Parts: sequence; C-alpha cells; structure tokens
Amino acid sequence: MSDFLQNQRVIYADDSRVRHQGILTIKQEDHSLGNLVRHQLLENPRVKFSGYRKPHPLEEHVEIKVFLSIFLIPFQVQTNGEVAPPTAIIQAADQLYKMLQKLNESLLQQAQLFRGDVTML
Amino acid sequence: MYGMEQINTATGFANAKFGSSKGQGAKGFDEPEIRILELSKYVIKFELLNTDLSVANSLRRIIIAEVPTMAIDLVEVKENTSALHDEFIAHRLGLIPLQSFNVDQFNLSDQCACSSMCAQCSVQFKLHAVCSDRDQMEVNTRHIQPLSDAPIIPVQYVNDKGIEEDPILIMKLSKNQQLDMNLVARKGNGKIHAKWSPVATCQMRKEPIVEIDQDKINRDLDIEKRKEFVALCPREVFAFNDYRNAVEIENSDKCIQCIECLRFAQANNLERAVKIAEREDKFVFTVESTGVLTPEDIVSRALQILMRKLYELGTQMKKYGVNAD
Repeated sequence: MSDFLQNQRVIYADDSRVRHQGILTIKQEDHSLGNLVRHQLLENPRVKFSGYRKPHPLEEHVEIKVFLSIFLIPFQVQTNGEVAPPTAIIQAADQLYKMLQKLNESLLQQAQLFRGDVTML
Repeated sequence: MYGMEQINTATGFANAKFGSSKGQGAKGFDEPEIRILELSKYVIKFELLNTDLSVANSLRRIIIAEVPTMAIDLVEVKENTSALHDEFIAHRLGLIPLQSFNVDQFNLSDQCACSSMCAQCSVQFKLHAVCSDRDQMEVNTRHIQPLSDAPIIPVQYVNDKGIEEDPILIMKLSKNQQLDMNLVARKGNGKIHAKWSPVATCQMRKEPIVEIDQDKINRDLDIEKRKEFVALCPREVFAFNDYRNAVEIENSDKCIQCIECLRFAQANNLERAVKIAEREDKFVFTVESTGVLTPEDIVSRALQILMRKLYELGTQMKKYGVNAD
C-alpha cells in the first residue's frame, strides 16, 4: 500500500478518529494550488474546515524533483454524510477548472481584438 | 449638492461597496471575468473581476514561476582568452531570453526518454568570436549561431516604432582575445531558476476606492486648508478646482493607501469626510514579458497550467470513491 502511494502525486487519507475528515497530500505543489483549492473548498457550505500547510519551506528545495508535498487538511463535513471530503474536492477542482476555462477563452478573444490583423510573433 | 453618490458615479464606482464586498460569500458576485486594458508587444494590463485573492495570487505565482520557457543551461568552453572567467560568461549566457513560442515541442530534460541530450529536449548553439583586426570588439547575441533549425533563437527586441534595437551585449573582447563555446538550451521554469521566468514584472494590485464628502470638506475647511489637503497627497489623487474653489477627486486609481489624507482629515475633525479602501473583487495585473513569449500568451499558458493541475486533482480524487461514508 505505501509503495503504491509513494508513486501517486495526489494522496487522500481519511482521518481515523473523526468522521468525514481527511488529509489530501499533493506532491510537487506549493501555495499556488494549495491556497486556491483551500479557498474554493470553503465556498462549499458543507465544508466545516479547510486549511493547508507546506510543512517546511526548505523541503521544496530538496524535494522539488522527487517529493515536494503540501498538505491540505480539509474538512469535517456535516454529519448527514451527504458529501464526503473526496466529493467536495472533486467539486472544488471542477468549479475552478470551469472558471479558469472561461477566463482563458475571454482573454484570448479580447487579445485577438486588440492585436487585430497584426500577426503574432 | 455634491453628495457621495454623485462622486461615486463620477469615479466609476457607482456600485462599489465599502470595505469587503465579499460579505455574502465569495460567489455572491457575478461571473469571473478578464478585461484587457492595454496590450502592446511586451506588456499586458488587465483586470481580473469577480474572483477572490486566492485565484489572483495563484495566477500571479504561476506566471512568474511555472510557465515553461527555453534558456541556455549548459555551456562548454573550448577557448576563452577574454578578461572574464568562464563561469561569469556562462551565467550571463543563461540569462539571455530565447524566443520560446515553440517551447511546447520540447521535453523537460529530466523527463525526456533520452539518456543525456537529444533534439527533443535541447537546442544547440555555437558562440565563436575572435577579435583580430580591432582594438576592441563587442560580443552580442548575434554571435550566437544555432546549430539546428529549431526556431529557438535569442530575442530581438523591437521598439515602439517597429525598429530593431541593438542586440544584447554579452561581453567585450580586446585585441587577440577569443571566445569559442558550445551552448545548450533547455526547457525549464522559474521555479528551477529565475532565468526561465517568462516575465520581467508581474504585479497585481487591488483597485483603490477613494471617496470624499465634498460638501463637508469644502464647507468646513478654508481655501488655504483645502489647497493643503490637495497638496499633501503624494500621488496627486485630489485636485483643486479653481472655479469652484473646491477639492475634487482627480485620479483615485493612483492611490497607494498611504492614509496621509485620513490623518489630515482626523486632525481637522473631518473623520467621516474621507474614506479610502480597496476593492476585494477586482485586481489589476501588469505583466511585462521578457520577449520570450507574447504577454497574452504568458497569461493564457498560466491559466492552462492551473487548469491542468486542477484537472489532475479532480481525476486523481475520483479513485477515492464518490461517497466514502
């Protein structure tokens, strides 16, 4: 099991003590993704707690090629158990993806208008 | 007569609320949006609307550190009789921006299938310069000759009028000195070394909100004091209207939240008359490319990198079951 997990970039582990709570670990990522996902998770009304930490600033340097990890410590979800933490993470990632897609499309559209006939390069 | 609301409209903040507009939860605001304000060959200025700080900051971080480009990474010195030592020149060569429009066709060297170097992960150049017939000679980026037909070449800057600027100076040679080097450019990103960062500047700021109660200020202060109020702002946000002898907001966009005006107001018992704040849902970005990519391309690539990360997170999470109770 641990060997299997070591090759994964995204690891989620349920907390054994508290229901609907778990830790998501993403390797080779830093505050850029950590803070973004954390923030989006907080938008979900079912998420009670969501936070992230980068365990050590120097680990990035040592582990950047192999192992840099950031811990998202998401959430306790409300007791009815309708939404489990992995589902909330999937939703958050999905929402952000769609939003960025829209932003990218409108950016390129406007850029084309600005550039006019002038060819790129 | 010149109440708050009128001033708001005049400065374009008709619907702006004071303080945090995030009151009703971040998704209380409309569709996220990008509006390009300025776009030139090397600089883009745009507004990012209706998102929160985490999105804006992630975008900024990705633009600086994770958009891949090409840069010279390996230098083999065959001959160097110049005054500068090898490492010094190698470092300078590394910092030269290379046109990276085709960066996508290359692999990162540590992820490439080859054992050390191949055409898929590197581009070779030659730098050969001899100063034989002059007292002094300048070695610049034009001396860097590509050894393959890959479209990766040092950036040639063009000024506003479309005229080519001088190539980047690498070093100078005096008589009978020579330089012979093999250079290898590789793909990388700003996380590994700043030479791979595609931007010279990438700054973002929240848009400032400045409001004054003109009635109160122009009634309670005498003309001398009004002029003093206008003059104390280091960013010239306020202006003095000579016809009306009144203080007006000239350019609220320049405000840097130094609160000089608030202090003055406080000292003159006008606490409520001046308000400054920042909009929480609007960010103004200025991205200045080093020339390796067009500025809009940098922003677009950064957005796509973020999208790829989120897509991977979403798909990887699916294996943990959708309803793990």
